[in-house]
Order: sequence, then C-alpha cells, then structure tokens
Amino acid sequence: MSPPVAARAITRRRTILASASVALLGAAGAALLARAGWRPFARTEPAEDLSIALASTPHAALLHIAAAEGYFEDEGLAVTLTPVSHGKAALDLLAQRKTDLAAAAEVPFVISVLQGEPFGIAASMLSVSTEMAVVARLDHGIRQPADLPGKKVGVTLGTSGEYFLWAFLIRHKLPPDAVTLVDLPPGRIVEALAQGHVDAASTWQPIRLDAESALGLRGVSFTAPAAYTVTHVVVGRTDFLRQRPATLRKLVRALLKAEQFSRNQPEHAMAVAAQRLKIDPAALRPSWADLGFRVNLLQSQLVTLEDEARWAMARGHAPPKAVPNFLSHLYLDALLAEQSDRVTVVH
Amino acid sequence: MKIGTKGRLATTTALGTIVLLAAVITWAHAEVDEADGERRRTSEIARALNDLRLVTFEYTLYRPERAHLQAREAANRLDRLLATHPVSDPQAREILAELRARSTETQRIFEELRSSPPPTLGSRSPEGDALRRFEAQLSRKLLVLQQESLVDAFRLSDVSTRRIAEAQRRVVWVFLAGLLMIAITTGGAAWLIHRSVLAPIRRLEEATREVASGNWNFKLDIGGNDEIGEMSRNFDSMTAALRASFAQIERSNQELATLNKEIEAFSYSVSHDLRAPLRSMDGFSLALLEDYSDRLDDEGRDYLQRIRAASQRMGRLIDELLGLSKVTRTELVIREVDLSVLSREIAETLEQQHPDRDVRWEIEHGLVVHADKSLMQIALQNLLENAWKFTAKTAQAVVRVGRTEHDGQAAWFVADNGVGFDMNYADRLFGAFQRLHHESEFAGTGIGLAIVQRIVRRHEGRIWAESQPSRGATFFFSFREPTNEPRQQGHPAG
Repeated sequence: MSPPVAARAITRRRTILASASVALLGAAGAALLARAGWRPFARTEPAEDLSIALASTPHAALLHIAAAEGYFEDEGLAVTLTPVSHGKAALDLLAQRKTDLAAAAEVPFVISVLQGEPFGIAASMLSVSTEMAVVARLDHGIRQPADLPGKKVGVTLGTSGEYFLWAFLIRHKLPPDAVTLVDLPPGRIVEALAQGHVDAASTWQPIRLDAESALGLRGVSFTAPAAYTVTHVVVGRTDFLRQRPATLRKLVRALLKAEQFSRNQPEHAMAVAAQRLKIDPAALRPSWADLGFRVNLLQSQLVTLEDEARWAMARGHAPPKAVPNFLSHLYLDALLAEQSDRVTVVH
Repeated sequence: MKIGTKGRLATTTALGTIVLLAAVITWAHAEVDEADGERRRTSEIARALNDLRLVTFEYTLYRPERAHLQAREAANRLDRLLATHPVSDPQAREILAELRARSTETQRIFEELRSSPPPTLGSRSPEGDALRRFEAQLSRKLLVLQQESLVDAFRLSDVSTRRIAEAQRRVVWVFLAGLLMIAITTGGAAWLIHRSVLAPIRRLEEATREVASGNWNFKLDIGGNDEIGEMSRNFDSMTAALRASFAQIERSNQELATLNKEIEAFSYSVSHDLRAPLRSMDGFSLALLEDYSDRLDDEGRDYLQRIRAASQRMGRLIDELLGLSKVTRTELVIREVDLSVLSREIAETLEQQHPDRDVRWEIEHGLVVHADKSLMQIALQNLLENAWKFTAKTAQAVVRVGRTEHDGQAAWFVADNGVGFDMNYADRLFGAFQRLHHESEFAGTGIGLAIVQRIVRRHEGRIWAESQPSRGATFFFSFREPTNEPRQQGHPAG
C-alpha cells in the first residue's frame, strides 16, 4: 500500500470510528431522554372545562387533592368543583344537567338509576367500612344494638346512611322495620340527636364525629365493618361519558396521580383535604387512616350495587322491578385505557 | 507515559468495565430470580384463595361439615403463605397487609356464619326473615371479600411480574450502558494508540522517505517520553550526525577535486613545457651528429646517441603521462562496445608493425560491454601490447581475449603465455612507473597498467591479475552490472 493510500485508509477509519462514536452517543442520549419522558414537540392545547359536584366530605378528597396539586391542570382540564351537602344532592345537580360529573356514594347512584336517570360510574375513588356508625343516646336506653327496636333513628333517606342502618340491623339479626326512620338532611342530624328529637342517628364522617362530640358521655357509637363497605364513585350522565372519552381519561389520570400522592405523602394529603374541606386536621386524622383511596372498578361492586338495588326497591325508593344490569352503568374505557389492572369487572 | 503503560491502562479499563458489567448483570439476575420466587409464592396464595372460595361456596349452599374442615385447612394454608411471604416492594407490602386483614375478616365471618343456626325452610316468621337476611348478608360479604382477595392476589402477581420486567429492562439498559462504556473505552484507546503510536509511526515513515530522497535537513521532532519519543530523538541525532558527515565528505570531495585539477594542470603544463627542451636536446643532438660527426670521436657520438635516446624516452614518458591525465579528465560516453572487434583491430595493427612475430590470437566473439569506447580502446591497447611484449621471448606465443565468471559476476580477460610475474609483487603492478621487469629486458614506461586500472575504475569496475613466472599472465577486469538507474558519468572527483 502506497503512503497516500495508507493515509487515506487511516483517515477513512478515523472518520468511521468518529461517526460510529457520535451515532452511539446520540442514540444513547436520545434513549435516555425518551426514557426520561422528554418530548421535544409536545403540543399545548387549550384546557377543557369540566364541572364536578361533590359532597363536602373527606370521601371526595382525591378530587380536592387533584385540584390543589394541579393535577387537573397538568392534564389540560379546567375543573370547577361545586360543593354540596351530600352525594345525593350532587346527583340531583347532575340530573338537572347543572354539572358534568358528580361524586357520591353508590346508594344514591343506585336509587337514581332505579328512578330512570341515565347515570354511569366513571371510576370509584374510595371505599371505607369503618367510618359509618349508628350514634345513639345512652340516656334514651340504647346501650347495645339490640336496644334499637322501637327507637327513632335519624337518617338522610336515600343515602348510604339509610342503607348502612338497614345492613347494621341485619348484621345484628334485627328486623329492618324494627326502628322508626326520621328523615333528616345531613346538616340537621347532629342538632336533632343532641336535642333528643331522635334516639339515634345513622350517618357518616364528619357528621358522625360532630354527633359524638355533641353527645359526649351521653352517646354511644355502633359500627359494622362487615355489614357495609361504602364506596364513593364519580358519576356522569351516560351521554356525557360516551361523548367525552378523552376528558374522562384525563380525569382518571389526575385521580391516579392524586391517589399516588395520598399514598406517598399521607400527612400532606390529609392537610390538603382538611384545608379544602375547612376541617380541623386534628378532627380529620382519626378517620383519615381508614379511608381507602383507590381508583378502580371492581367486580364485587356489582354485587353491592345489585344488593343496594334490591334494598332500594324494598324500601320504596323505586318501584319494584327486576334488578337492572349495572354492568351497562359502569364506564370502563377510561380506566382500562389508563391502568387496566384497576378494572376487575368481568367484561 | 510509556506505550506499555498506556496499553496496560487501556486493558485494565476494558477489563474493569467488563467486570462491572458482569457484576451488575449478576445482581439484576438475582433480582429477577427473587421476583420470580415472589411470583411463584403469589401463585400459591391465589391457589389457596381459590380453594377457600370453592369450599366457602359449597358451605354456604349445603353446609357440609367436610366443606367447613376444608375451608379451615385452606384458611390455615393461606395464613401460613401470607405470614411467610417476604416482599420488598412497598405496594406489594400494602397489598399483603390488605390480604392478611381480609383473611382474618373472612375467617371471622365464616365462623360467624357457621355458628348461626340455619333458617328453617318455609318459615316466614320475623326472626326467620332476619336470620335469612343475616346469612345472606354474611354470604355476600364472604363473596365480596374473597373476590377482592383474589383480585389482590393477582395484583400481587402483577407487582412481581412488573418487578421481573423492570429487572430485565434494567439488565438491558445496563448491558447497553456497558456496551457504550466499552465503545467509549475502545474509542479512547484507539484515539490514544493513533495519537501516540500510529501518527508518530506515519511521521517516521515520512521522515525515512525524506531522508532516503536526500533531505537530510528533515527533523522528526516527535515529543513525548515514550519509546517513540525516544526513537524520534535518536533519529534526529542520527540525521544530524549524517548531515555533518556528508558535509565533511562534500568538503573533502571539493578539496580533492580542486587538488586533482591542480595536479592535472600541473601534469599537463609540465608535460608540454618539458617537450620544448626535449625537442631542443634531441634536435641539437641530431644536428651535432649530422653536422659535426666528423669532428667527434666514437665516444662523443655515442654520448650524443645516448642523449637522443634519453630525450626520446622522456618524450614517450611525457606522452604516457598526458595519456594518463587524459584518461582521468575524459567525460564518459557509455554505450555498447564490442571488445572482440576492438581486440582484433589492435591485434592486426600489432602484427603489421611487427611482421616478424608469430603470435596466435584467440579472441572470443561477441565480447560486448557497456563502456566508453575510446577508453576501452586505450585499455585494450595497453593490455594487448603488454601481452604482445611479454610473449616476445616465448616460442609459441598465444594471446587470448575472452569472458569468464568470477564470484558470480561477468569478467573479461586478456591472457598470455609470456614470461609472467611473481604474484608477490602483484600489488605493484598497477602503480605508475612501476615495472616488474628491467627495461633492458622488456621496454616500457610502466604507465600502461596504471592507465588501464584508472579506466576500469572510471567504469566503477575492478581489475586484477593472476600469473606465475614463465607461465604467462592473465589480466581480468569486470564492470558494475548495468542497471536501469542512470550511471554517474561525471568526473570521479567532481
């Protein structure tokens, strides 16, 4: 090989080596950036408006956390939260088309469906089995569940409070009609119990805590974890759920982030919820640990929904008929698309 | 840093990278193995849960004691699995805690259901209704709890699967990172080798080429403390020393050339200047002999004859000296020369000049050499005249001209069977005015062989002789083999 040819060969080898090194480093860099989630041409779209009616209870804490931590904004949602007294009131707003979505317990949702409302569940946010209780007055002769028959029990009819009372009585082998139900809105339960207008009340947190505080030593609380696990769900009108799949996926993503946040930083999450609900954190702390925040749609929910439907018809909240197929009232697509393992509903 | 040290450093780095890679892969493999173990234990949990669910379902339907015993056994197995299931993932720990709590609750509710008296079929009493509702509630709760436990078992399995996938991904990434590190190390080593070995060697190759082409001023000038740096300094020292030597040789050559010119000029002028007085001596001696012969006695005439002979001999010496000088000065014109033809011409001339001699000539045909024709004519003339002269007293004189091989090289020769000479004096043969025989025996100036030797040397050849007294002599000469390169044809001193 003559010297110029040798020199050209060396130069060519150097060029190939340099090119290969640059390509290798470039590929590795791009892979690392892609792994880190870097998107050089991410589009910025205008935020979507979304209104959600929700009860001023810790049960909807994930929605409050998502709003406070900016998860909705991150997903391109401009969410307006509308606080109401309880879930049934939120569903009423949904029925009147005054809100896009509502957060409520399963019981008012079931009653609404039985009454013909075209509602569907987008996702469950929370389940808890220890927070509901029957708070009774000792001075009215109630020391144990067996003392309840013949007593007046305050309850917000058509809510999970009424269903819990029914399940509670069954749990203690008592006839459901053994007590006299007094329909009270959530805001009046504590007062009615304190003033002795009712002998006991079946309610949820934080009303339960207020009632226990109001009665002090005169009161006693009965829980029944095995009787009923209340589940809070995000409900939308069926047409809305079908027409806004992208919006619902964004909502689900924001809720999953909020759930992650509450798991990783429970104290911070509780502080955020307390601030948004205007509750003293100290008052929230005892019940906070029992709240199982988990975004999902479970097969076991169908069993509960059907049982609640039978109860609702038996209680006269809806005309008797065949138990509806609640599978068609579960909107699985958003959660399946975002995190399929959170959906155990057989579909 | 020495090349050896650099090599060791590159090797150590490469080996270190490979060892690191192997360690990380081993660690990741161990993690995959552990996660796989978790998944297998999770499968056992799911199997136990399924068994429990099966017998619970049987019990709620028909209340057989066998189902109760099986349920208890399945529950115990499940508890053991849940108690001994080690997990490292926080989410898995959370799921496991939920599974344990649910298992406890499931067993409690199952025992509660078992202790409850079965409702009497067909009885519609309020107590019977309450009992039926109670059992239905417990059964539903058991169903829900076991469904959720199974779901959690699958979640646990998913966590293990995810962990395996993550570990496998990590292996891939570590492997890629390792490959990248190896590529960078190899690139670095290649760059280092190129910078400290290949580039200097290329420069060295360029330097040798430059020096070979005569550029003695080329400096390698490669820095560094390694072997190549050392070699560069030695190379530069060597070229500097050679440069000085060549400069010295150049100066010597120039001085020699000047000296030669001066000698030639001196010889030429001496030769010419001496001719005039010689001619006068010879002329006036002849005039004396012709015009005053009668006034001189025999001794006087003899003296005059001797003066004439001496002056004529000196004239011949001067001619020979001029010939020698001419041989040195003449510019060579190299071409094909047929020595056979030249030899025959000279032989014919000699025979014509001395018809009384009977010499046998044996001249080979086709003795062709590449040489200067006029100089080769002079050389052959001298060699053949010598042979002619020294065979004068030989009865059957033979003179041979031919070609032979000597040490694998072509050589030409002129041989005779004359008086020869003693090889002990061979070193004096080619010296000017050197004679091995007395002039009275064989006439001559002693210049001839000196001229022949100079001619052969002008042709970059060599001449030598072999002889034995009374057995004749052979003079060999050879020339440098002709090559494609143009022969230096200038003056040897120039």
